[in-house]
Amino acid sequence: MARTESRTKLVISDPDETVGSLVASHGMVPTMAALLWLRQVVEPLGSIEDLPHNVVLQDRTSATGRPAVDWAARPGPPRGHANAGTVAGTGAFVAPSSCDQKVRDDVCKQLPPPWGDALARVYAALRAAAAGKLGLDELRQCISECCQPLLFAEPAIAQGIDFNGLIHQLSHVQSILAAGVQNTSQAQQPFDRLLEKNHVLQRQCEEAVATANNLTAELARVRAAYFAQGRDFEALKASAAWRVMERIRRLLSGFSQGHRNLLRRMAKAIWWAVTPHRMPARIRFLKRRRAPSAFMRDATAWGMRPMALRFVPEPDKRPGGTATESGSYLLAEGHAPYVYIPQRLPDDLEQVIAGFSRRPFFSLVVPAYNTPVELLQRLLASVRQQWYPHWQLVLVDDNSPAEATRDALSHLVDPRIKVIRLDSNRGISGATNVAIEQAEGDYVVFLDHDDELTTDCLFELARCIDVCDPDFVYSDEDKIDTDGSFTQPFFKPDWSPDTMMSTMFTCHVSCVRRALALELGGLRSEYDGSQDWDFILRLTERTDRIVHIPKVLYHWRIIPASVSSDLAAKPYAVDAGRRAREDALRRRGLSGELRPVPQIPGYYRTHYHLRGQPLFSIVIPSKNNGTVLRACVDSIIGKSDYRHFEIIAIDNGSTDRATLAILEELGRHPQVRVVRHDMPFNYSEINNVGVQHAGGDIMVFLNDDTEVLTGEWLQCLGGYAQLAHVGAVGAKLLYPETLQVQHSGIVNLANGPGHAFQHAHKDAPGYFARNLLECDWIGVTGACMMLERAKLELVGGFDESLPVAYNDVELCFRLVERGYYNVVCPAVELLHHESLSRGLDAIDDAKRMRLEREKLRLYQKHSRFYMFDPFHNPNFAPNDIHFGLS
Amino acid sequence: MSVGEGRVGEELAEAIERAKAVSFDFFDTLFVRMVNDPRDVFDLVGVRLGVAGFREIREKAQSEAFRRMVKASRKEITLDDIYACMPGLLAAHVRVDDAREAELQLELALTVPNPRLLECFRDVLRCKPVMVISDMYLPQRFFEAALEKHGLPAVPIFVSAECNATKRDSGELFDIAAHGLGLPAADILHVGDNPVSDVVRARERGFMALHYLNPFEPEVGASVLPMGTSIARSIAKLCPVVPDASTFYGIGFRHGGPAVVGFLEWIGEQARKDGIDFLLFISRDGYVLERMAHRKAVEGLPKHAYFPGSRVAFGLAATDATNFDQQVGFMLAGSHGLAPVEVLERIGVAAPSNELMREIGLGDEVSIDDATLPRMREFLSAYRAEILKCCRRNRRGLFNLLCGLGIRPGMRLAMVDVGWNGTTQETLQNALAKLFNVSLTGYYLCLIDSPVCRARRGVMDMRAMFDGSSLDSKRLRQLYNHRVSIELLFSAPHHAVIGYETGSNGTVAPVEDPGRGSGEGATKAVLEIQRGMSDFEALYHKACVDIGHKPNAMEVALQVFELIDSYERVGNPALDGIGNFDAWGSSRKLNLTARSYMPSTRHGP
Repeated sequence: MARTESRTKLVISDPDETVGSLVASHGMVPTMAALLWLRQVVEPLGSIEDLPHNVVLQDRTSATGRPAVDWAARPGPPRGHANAGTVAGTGAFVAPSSCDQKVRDDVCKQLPPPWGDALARVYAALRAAAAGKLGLDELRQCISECCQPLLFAEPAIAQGIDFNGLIHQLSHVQSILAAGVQNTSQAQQPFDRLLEKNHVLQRQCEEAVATANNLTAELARVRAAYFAQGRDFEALKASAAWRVMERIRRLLSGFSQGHRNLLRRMAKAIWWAVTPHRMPARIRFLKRRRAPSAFMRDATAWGMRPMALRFVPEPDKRPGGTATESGSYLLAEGHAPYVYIPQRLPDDLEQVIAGFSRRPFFSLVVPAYNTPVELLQRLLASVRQQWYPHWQLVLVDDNSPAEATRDALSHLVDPRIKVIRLDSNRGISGATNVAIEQAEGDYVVFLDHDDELTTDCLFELARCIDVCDPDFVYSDEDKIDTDGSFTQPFFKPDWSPDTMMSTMFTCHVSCVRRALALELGGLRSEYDGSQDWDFILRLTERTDRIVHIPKVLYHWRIIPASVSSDLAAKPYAVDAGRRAREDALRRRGLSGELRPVPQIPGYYRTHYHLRGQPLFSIVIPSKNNGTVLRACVDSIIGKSDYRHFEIIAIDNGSTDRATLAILEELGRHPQVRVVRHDMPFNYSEINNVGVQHAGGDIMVFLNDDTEVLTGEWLQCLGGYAQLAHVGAVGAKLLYPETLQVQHSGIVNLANGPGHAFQHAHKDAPGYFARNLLECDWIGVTGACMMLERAKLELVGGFDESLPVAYNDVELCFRLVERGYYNVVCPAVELLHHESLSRGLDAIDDAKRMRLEREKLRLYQKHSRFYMFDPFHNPNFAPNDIHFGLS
Repeated sequence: MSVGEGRVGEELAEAIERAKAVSFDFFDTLFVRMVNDPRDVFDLVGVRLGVAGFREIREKAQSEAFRRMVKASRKEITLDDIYACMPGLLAAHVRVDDAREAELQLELALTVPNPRLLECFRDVLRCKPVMVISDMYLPQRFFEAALEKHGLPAVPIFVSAECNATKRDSGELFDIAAHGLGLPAADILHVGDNPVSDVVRARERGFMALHYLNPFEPEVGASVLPMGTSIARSIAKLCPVVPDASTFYGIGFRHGGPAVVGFLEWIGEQARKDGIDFLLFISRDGYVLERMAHRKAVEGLPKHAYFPGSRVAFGLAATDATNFDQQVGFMLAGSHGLAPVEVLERIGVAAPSNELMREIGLGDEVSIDDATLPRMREFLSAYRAEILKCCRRNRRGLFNLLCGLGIRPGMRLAMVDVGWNGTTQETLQNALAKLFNVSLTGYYLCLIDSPVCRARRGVMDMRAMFDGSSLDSKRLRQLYNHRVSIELLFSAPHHAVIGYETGSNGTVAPVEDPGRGSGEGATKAVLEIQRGMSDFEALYHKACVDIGHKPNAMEVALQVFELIDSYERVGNPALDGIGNFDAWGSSRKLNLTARSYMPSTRHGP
């Protein structure tokens, strides 16, 4: 084949070296540096016409082979190069010798895992391409896939690049390039062009900075979304760049809407340029967004401008005041990030409280250690402002060395406040236990020494206790950021025992009947760092009177290097959390282990070992879909580590010859049985027929268009299915083309049941890591659902009056009504082609109407679940499968 | 001695004490008729005979009988005399004897002992001679039959038609009666309601006389009431103590009762015609209707339930992100004069702290007016997430309530509301459209002739007992002006339902708005009104059975206009004393009464 000389050649440097150099020598944020390296790969790739000779690997150790590069400019002919084309690539950012190799390597380790992985994989692909082992299309595809994990970090990139970072970084790059111009006469021209263009770009950005002063809202909005992504954002936020940009963000708070749009478009353009592979997803997103857009047009027609309540922190406004008093609220145009809104004191408060059948006395227990006096004052203010009057505050000074703390505590004179000073430091558990023992209340409310209660906290707890008489109450919470603003609201599910084995989600506010707390012996010091997690695990083994108040009643203050800011900041806490759960397994007589969650360091999932050698009966309905069915069956037989299973393929009246032949062939396998059920399609009926033919202890309902990816799938799911409190168990299902989430749990939204995190990247954490952790859900998809036979029979099998849609959800609703919890195990992955067997349910009007009818039928049968999902939260946007805020 | 009521009763007792014998006038004294005017009996006879305009025919015949009496130098006419004048006036197919007998039977059915004098009459019977003296064309056997029918002993009866002598002309009948009783006239006390016949003439003839004040004396020159109204108004005559229309009990008995009974009968008729599957008596207007329907089967009434809700609850249930901005107008309707947070309180949304509201310029010190409305709109926009959360709660509650009642797609539903523009129906229809495919018909006491109501009637199925087709515009306007009083008649002993809270098990608890402001609220008043209504209802249904006639439902309900007319003439301290009845318009800054909603003062939302 004739060799095609591209106008562009791609010269590739080692990403670690490049990123390390940029960070170590020029103070660039690692993710920014990584992005720049990637951009140098992706952008010229479109112009490369052939491989392998148009891809040149730069010698890692060579300091002299650096070709002329224009990273910011479009391709153009370089001066003095042998080929009359552009040489593009990643080799010319810095001289590799400009920083120490070890420093560079350390820096690269700072990259969040998705970034490090992506860079390594892209670099490997490029090397393979340069060596002729990979074609151009394959290379492009490979790079696209490698970049996929970065998608969920998109807001971070936008955040990082946006304006502040860009301006900052541009000046660095400019200086690098300027130095290059001086030193390299051969590269003078491209460098001049580069400089010129960089000047233009910088001017644009500076103009934007000068004319805009209100970017806070947009940035904060992105920030709010990103908070949901968990640790990655925290890492970014802890970075120097973030802190530097803090000031710039404030400067930008005056941006007009128009300039914000301009800047946003610029950022978006850059992002789109580096991620062409996301185009299909964008098109889908834009289509989905069409409805809200129509609404906004309506809003405009009605003369309504979108408005938002904002909170502007003013730390000096009221020293020693509560968080809400330490700032001002304002009504401003546009959208706003999360803001806590304090509630109005009811006119008839006394009357309401007098009407309670129980008026519990609360003991707020606070272990204090070197508490900064200002924070102590804020805590006290939040307690003294409680609407509900029946409380005492028990402060236990855990032998604080700080004199200011000791002094402040000793000057507290209030009959409602009891201060206890310990002679020795007993740690958080020891100090808390002293407080619990000294408390006189009916309930203890745990309060950390630097946090705050909302003013209605105890009132809401009392109201809840009046109605439900619970042993344990927890609420939603948010955080007070370092600048005093409210952030990271955690809107929690109702009691979820399996979620609790994955993450300590109940947190604050936590209110426990004191008698029970004493019975449990309080907190255990050996679990300090996760002592509350251990406590709640033990507590909830003793009671099921657990109530969740879906309202923020607690402000958790972010203190750098505290658990509130970053779980990984306290490795001992991670370890204690793991040990607390291992102990829970022991106490509960369950065999299992804690396994690290690879995508989120510091997190562990509970893997329950199978009890005995149960027979799994895998029921697969199918019709005229032989090839797909065979792939499914082959994946089960080929991939399953656990071999004690049977497959019952229910042939729903296939007529296709090839399918019939495949069915016959499959039926010859000793573990496969084909049952003919030639009746009109009724998914529920087919599955019920399958159960009749099954001999297993554990049923698995599987769509024929799925393929098993995880060898341990039967053990992982089965371990949960065998738990006495668990009903249906589901897996993470992925779209084969993109490996995006097809199913990771069902959320029962205002518009009906939906798949949480659908089309998100499979490794994206999702809201508080729900996409990666074993959690309780209202339901799991019937495309892969495991359930103990006895439990299935107890609830009466599938409802055959729902022949096509929602029969799986309906079954799950019934399980929840019977007190079972449905669990999704994201550790188990299968491919799901989704409706490849039957086509999509909403493909035409008739099907859509049938779908609506069946949905109505579902809710008529289970009206309590209409617009209600105990594992979701009313504070989320009602139809957002990603747990976004309203 | 137990005697009648009040001051008259004491005087009566003293007079009886002094007398050796007592004579009673019969009609409107010892007995009463269950019609407003004696001539209303003729209408009933006409109904029974199927003769239109019988009242005029009968009056004409009576005039002719008088003419003949005078000509024949007699002093009184008889029923036979009257019916002797009928041939030629009555249609050929109606036999005169049948007509006369019908009148006699109806008179007997409609005539009942006066409960305010009955005990007195019985007491006197035990210790003194008693007789009846009546100027009447009816025969003596009628009076004997009336006494016997109601378990009263036979007493001497002196009837003008039998004696050819009257009380009214010269009092000659008194002489005959005294002679008949064998006592000197001066020893006899006569009790009667006619100041001339029973008092002046009696005294002229030497009797002691006591004027019995008839509390149901029809006004001179008053227009003829429709039959149903006449009967409804007369039910009060059956009470031992006349229900005082200036008390809530009296309002309930005399006005609320007929309105509710008539409206309920009308609803039954409509629902049967419309083939309704399920009827929702919407709170609070439907409370007393549903209670009444629960107590007594109403013909035509389908399965039904008292349904907690309101235009607020339904309007919010119909609100979501797609129509929020349009609904802001609804949320702000009638908010002038309110404090900003009250706009949230009246839709059941928890309000931000006053400090926050003050910081954004909408503290409690602000009263909403035209200048602050734009700011309020902005605030509602900013607060939409919280408001929409409440909207979702309401939609969920509504769905659960409907499912709990067995409402299914395809059903024909009807809702009952008092009036006035169909707003509640529109909001319920909008909410239902998000839940079920069901049809909805609205049954109203009254729909006014406003552009918005006309527009709604063009697109929704709305029926009203009173609207432009059944009432003239003046009466319609009058009814609307007094809407707060009318709504009070139909109200429930609980606050306005503005939303729902649904438990995790699907049980729904209504969210109520107690309103704001200093008014005591209407709960006590409502209970009293309902006690009156309940008493009316019991007597009314018995009366209908006794009469053997079911009055026209709308005519019965027209009795409510007596309240309105009376209020406009002399006011009503009871109604004026109710403050903040309407939670929607109530405010800590205002004190609204029924009068506040009249056109000259303040329009409701």
